[in-house]
Amino acid sequence: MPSINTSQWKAALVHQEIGHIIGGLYARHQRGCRTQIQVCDELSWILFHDFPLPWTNPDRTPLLVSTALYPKFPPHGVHIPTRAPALPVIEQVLGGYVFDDPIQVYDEHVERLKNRGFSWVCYHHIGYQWRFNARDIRKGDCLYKYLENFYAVLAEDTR
Amino acid sequence: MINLLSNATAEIPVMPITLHSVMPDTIIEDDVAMSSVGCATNSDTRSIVVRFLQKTYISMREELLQDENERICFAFGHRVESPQRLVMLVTDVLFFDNDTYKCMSPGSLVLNGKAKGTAYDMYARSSFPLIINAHSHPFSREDVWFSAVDDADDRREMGWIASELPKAKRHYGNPDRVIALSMVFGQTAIDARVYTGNLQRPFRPVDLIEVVGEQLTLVVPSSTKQWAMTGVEREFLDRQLRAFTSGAQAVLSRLKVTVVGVGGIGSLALQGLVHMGFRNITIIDTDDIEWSNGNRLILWSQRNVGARKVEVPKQYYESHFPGVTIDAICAPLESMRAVSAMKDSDILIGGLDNQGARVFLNDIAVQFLIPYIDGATAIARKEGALSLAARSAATIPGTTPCMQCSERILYLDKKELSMHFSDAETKSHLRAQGYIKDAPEEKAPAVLPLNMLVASAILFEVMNLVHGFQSGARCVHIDWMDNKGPVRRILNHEVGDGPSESCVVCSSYLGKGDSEPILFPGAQTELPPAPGMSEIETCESR
Repeated sequence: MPSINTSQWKAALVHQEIGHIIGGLYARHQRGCRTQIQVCDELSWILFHDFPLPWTNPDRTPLLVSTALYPKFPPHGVHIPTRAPALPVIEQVLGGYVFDDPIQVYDEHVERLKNRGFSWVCYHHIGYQWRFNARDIRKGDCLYKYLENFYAVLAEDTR
Repeated sequence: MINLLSNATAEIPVMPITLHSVMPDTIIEDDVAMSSVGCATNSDTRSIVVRFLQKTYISMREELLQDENERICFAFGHRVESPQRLVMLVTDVLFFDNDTYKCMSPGSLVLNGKAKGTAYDMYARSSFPLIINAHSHPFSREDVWFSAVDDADDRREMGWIASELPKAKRHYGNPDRVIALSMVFGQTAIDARVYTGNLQRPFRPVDLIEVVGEQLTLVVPSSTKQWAMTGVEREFLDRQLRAFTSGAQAVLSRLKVTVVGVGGIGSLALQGLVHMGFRNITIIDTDDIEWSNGNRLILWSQRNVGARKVEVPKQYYESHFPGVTIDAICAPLESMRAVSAMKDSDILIGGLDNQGARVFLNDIAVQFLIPYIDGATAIARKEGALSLAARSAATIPGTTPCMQCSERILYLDKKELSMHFSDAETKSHLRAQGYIKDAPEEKAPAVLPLNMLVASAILFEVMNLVHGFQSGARCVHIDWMDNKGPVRRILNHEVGDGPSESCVVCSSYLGKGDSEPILFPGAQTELPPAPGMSEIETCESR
């Protein structure tokens, strides 16, 4: 399997996205979330340790986004620790689409994810449309918009 | 003072900063009579190809040969390595204004040392491994050669580059691989060489220069033994040579062409390529020959049913056509072997049956500056009416929009593509949740005459790419039921601009070669660590 090396321009894009996310979602959060964000060396995932939620309780959660296919393709949903209190709330708001023990078939990948304590929240970008704009990321579909939309969908719940 | 023409991602900082901290003052401050620079590639015996984006090449020629004075510019790029070849991909070029020259005449030039230091600094800050020092000999009307002064300058300058620029790159946190070439442009010829670092034999000539644009221009450098056709080749191609007199024919046999998918369309395209004089061909397909292939697969015979689709043509063409070598790869498109063969090609041809594979080839083409011509057919019966349609489509990196940025993307199913590019585990996960449905594979109708039409279109476009006898077509539409004109070539200039500036493939991957990982179906990535329990507990306590 060819190795996935870090590429400078992708690192720059990811950091630009994180800047927008901090400047948008995090800045709007009333109680303030720590901006502790971990980016995998190979840029295949981003872990937001304190991702803001539109509710007062819980008002934040660890959240992981896979960026292995970014920016050519959108993420396949997000991952949230199975034990996180936000998870059942998210499942309730989305009307399902949360899988903490996702498949019956034994599968190494799922087993490894489970061992790491993550559940998969199957939230897809609108209609799978993904037109990334390399010139100006905010003019096209991007991680920032993806997470903004995710946040907006959760915010439709009026708890 | 310095003008940068960047055709790929702007990797070079706009504001140059001098290298006082890492470069010797003598080089920064002193003016050095400069003709060329280079760097070690060890005692590499692979053939060396330099592949330019057309607009980079044209702008270099125009700059260097604008008047009777010698001029200089620096070009930058990435590399593609394979066991047989080292291919340099050139996308960016740096020009110097007249006021940066201390001396400029028809016989010599001296560049201001500060400008040169700034150029080296810009290079050190970029991720480009390749640096080319190109200068002109405008007085050379026919063949052009490096002069004795060029040789002396190259030895000194390249030695310095080989020892110092890797350090400068490390200083800026960039990969420290440095490959240096020097080129000299005459009015009608070019010479090019790579610095080897070997004291006895410090330079190796470049074997071939390719310019990728609407036409694939092939230039054999002056120092390289000119490639001539053998008597047998000439006789074999006699009738073709009477039609296409371009000198490129002599080089065709050395080009590497990869045909991905050797089914109905691919087997015909392969046959055509062999007859047209291509001798170095790779074919990729995982399928075996079936009885149901009999209506359209070239070289089908009942004796071959059950054999690998790639093995039969390999055996046939290698034993029946002089000089033909076929690398037959029976492995998935995303396998190491297939990927290595594809990225080491000069021309890619697709005879594929799914969009994900087409997009994968498209992305390889753009990243490695390889012209890609794809063919497809569509036979349908709607309300009793038969439709017999086909098309060939070209992705010429830097010249045409790619599949991802052209309107063609509108016909691609993003969900299907996204699934195609997911790893096996994610697919399994999505399948289990019902997001992917494993519908039984539908056998699409296919007939030989329609395949022949689209294979013809592909072969004409390949011929045109090499010989340049007409404007390039972005795609060729074939509608056999259209009595007014079943074949319509849609020219590049008829359908607007070139690659989209906002296209992630054309702007971020163009010419990146081996410097950029290939996003391919099934790519495995590192898994996240376990979330910190303290994080979860913190949330719970709120």
